[in-house]
Amino acid sequence: MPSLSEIIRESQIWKSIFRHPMPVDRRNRIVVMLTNFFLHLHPVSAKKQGIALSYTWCMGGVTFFLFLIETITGVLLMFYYRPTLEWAYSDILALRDVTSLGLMRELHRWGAHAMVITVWLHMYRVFLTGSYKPPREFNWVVGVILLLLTLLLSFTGYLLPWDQLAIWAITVGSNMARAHPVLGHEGPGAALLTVDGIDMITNASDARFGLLGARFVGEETLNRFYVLHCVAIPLAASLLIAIHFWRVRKDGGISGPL
Amino acid sequence: MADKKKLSVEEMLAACRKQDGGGNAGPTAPPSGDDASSKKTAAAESKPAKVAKEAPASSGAAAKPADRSKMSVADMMAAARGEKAGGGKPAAAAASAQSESTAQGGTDAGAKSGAKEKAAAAKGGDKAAAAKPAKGPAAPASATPTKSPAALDTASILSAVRSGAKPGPVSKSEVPTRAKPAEEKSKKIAVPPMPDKPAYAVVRPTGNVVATETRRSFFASVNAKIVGSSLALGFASLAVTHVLWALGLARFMFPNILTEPPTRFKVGFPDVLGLGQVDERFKAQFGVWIVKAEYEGQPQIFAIKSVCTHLGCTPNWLEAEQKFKCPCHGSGFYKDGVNFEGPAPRPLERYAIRVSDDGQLEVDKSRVFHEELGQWKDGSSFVPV
Repeated sequence: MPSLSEIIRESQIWKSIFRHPMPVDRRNRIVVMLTNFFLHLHPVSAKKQGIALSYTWCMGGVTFFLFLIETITGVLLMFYYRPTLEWAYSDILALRDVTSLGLMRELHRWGAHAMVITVWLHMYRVFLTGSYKPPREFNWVVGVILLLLTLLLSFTGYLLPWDQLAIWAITVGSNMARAHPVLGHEGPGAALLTVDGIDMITNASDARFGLLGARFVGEETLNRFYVLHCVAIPLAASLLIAIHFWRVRKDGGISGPL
Repeated sequence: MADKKKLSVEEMLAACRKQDGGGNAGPTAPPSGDDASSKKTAAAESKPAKVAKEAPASSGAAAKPADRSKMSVADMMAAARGEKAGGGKPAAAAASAQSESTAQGGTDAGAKSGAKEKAAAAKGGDKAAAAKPAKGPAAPASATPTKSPAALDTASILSAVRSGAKPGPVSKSEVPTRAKPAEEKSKKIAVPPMPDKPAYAVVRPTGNVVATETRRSFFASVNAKIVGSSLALGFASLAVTHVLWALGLARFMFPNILTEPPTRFKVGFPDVLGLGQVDERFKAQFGVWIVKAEYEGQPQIFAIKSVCTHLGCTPNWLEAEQKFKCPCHGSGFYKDGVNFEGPAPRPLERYAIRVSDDGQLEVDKSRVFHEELGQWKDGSSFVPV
């Protein structure tokens, strides 16, 4: 008389998903790691010292975990948030006061703060352990881009509550783009781009204008930042995270001397 | 095994003679050229202790009865190993010889296994010659000592086939199944009981149990309990958290505030409408016509749902033609909502309507009345004029 677990594990449904028996011996542990989409990110074996918590701080893993938290809570928030002048602020208030599970936005916010902290700590650890050195120098560059994307996610998300803090923070932050060399209309070299005495780089054609979609932070900016925050930057970050993990494995495994 | 197949007829005969004649046979095996096994047989008789290592199984089985009168432990071990190496059952003659040794009162391992073989040999009975090939690859040589394995007669081959066994050479894939009896036999070698523990090795039970627990073992056991229980507690709380989150997320998906118009709303006083009038004021926001008209000869006020019963488009009221006309597929309805042209299969539906406390008509969109189900006779579906 087979037990229920045997019936399940002998069924075609189970076997079609899990191609190998329970990982009780070394061979099956290896093939399970190799044939599972989620597990194959990990190497089949790692140096004991390489995964020591005192060595890695697990900051990269925590950052990725927080990225997943932000993705899930962010999708849930999108069900109730409308990026329009009429609704943005009141939707944020309603997410706290009206919607059930009102801490969803708080989770998203605190998770964002924590992610910035952990990504810095991760970078700090990589620097201290010298893990940026060849052959890992390309992955260091990918990591720096991921750091920038994390900061941009925070920056674009900052505007979405559409309160005074958000509007003026983005105003001040985007003012830096005015001073960008050549591309900012107040930056050095902007005056060089003139055609027949007409400035090509003005406050309606410089980098800041391209970022805000307007001369000042307005509804166009809100919509633009919303799309950047919810679609564009997360997509780019996901791709780079995949490359980052892949290169960790290909460049000699998780941390530690080669 | 491989050596066994090289046995010539003479050697087999010699082995049989030795079994029959007991210890007096002596080294009678004719030295047939370079046959190594014959030399080994001779060596086995002179030095029984080496039999297990050198002699093939049949030689070992044959050597044992020859020396049974003075069997030492080494002999018995050698015999047991020889049987193991031989794989199959020894010949019926060997079994009977071993049964004699059993009768001598031997309680050692070799004798015990010999007794088992005796039973097996007795079971085999008169068809021993046929049954032996099935029991093991070594059997043909020793079971039919007068014939080489290749010279099996037709009757024995047939009986072997009938008994479900395959005679002849053994492929690698068959080895596990065929070698099994030998393994079982080897397991049956009894281990002598352990001697009693000397007095100094016996653990004396102490009166105070706590006294046996050192500080270190105490902390180890406490630690195991705490870690074990905290692990269970951790996973339990994780599971509880997940369940609570799943429930919370399910609740999260159901908004607490709706921005759509209410399902109960007032549409003014009944006197405002003239008989035969269709009020279109509430169609855009609420999707309903308020009609004061006759239905089956009864003048009444009712609320018609502005959804075509064909595929769900919104019909229009055509005042000039005094009908509801759906722009999608041309379904037409009379003023009372009954269909008369186009693909619509049934009349338009009514919402519940009543006169509220302040005298105004109040429509309730949460209740729907179908004409084809006879629900338009329900008092909630109209207000009589």
